[in-house]
Amino acid sequence: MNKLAFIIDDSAVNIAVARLLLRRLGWTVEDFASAIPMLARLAEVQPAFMLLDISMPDLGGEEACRMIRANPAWSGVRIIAYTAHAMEVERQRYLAGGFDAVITKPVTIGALKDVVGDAPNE
Amino acid sequence: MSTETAMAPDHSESPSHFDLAALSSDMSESRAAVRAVLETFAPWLADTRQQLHAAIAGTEIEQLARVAHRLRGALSQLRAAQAVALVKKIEAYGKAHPDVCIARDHPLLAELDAELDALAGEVAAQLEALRQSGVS
Repeated sequence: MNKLAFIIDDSAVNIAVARLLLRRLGWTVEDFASAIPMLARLAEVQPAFMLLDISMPDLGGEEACRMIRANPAWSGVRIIAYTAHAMEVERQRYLAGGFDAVITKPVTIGALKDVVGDAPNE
Repeated sequence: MSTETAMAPDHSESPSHFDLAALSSDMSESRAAVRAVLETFAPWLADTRQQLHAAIAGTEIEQLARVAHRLRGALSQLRAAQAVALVKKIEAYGKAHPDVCIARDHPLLAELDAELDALAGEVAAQLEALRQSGVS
């Protein structure tokens, strides 16, 4: 069973929060301060899902999502927008752009559990 | 009390510049998790404030927008409502004046600095209290 989750965010605080909460749900976490190293890692190992920040320098979350969705080998990875942008119009754009779900900051354990659930048992 | 046992929300003890009870609730009432978040936040805030001021000093409008956005996200995680409101105003100023960098002596920046000073002080005090109570 795949218990691996990626977190991609250029804020160390947001990574810390998400990492702590996902670990409490039983997930194994790898985190990245940018989407570029995440894409390199994705070529080696695929998580069950990723929390992908939208607003990042170098490569934004929406563009990173497009790149992942363009590769059929990565079609099994759930991509969850992890963002402070909470407007409905933006939420709909993310979902239309290939994201599977949207979690808005501040994140809570309840919101994460609703979207990703507990990690699967061995 | 175990370092991982529940921390009962007590609004009477919540600092006024961030909502400890809400953060604790977000973190599933884990005192260790709250400490870990605050230990990450304290140096991150100092570094991010430097980036904010550097962007303003250099009139780097895009960089200022990025840093402000990042700052707002982290502040919202701490439920630092007053600081979030001030950063939103700075972001709104940027959207209303896309070709102009906010002036270094703009009153909003002084307000934000004062609020972030207070927030940093309360985070430091809360961290010290957690350390003294043996939360690791």
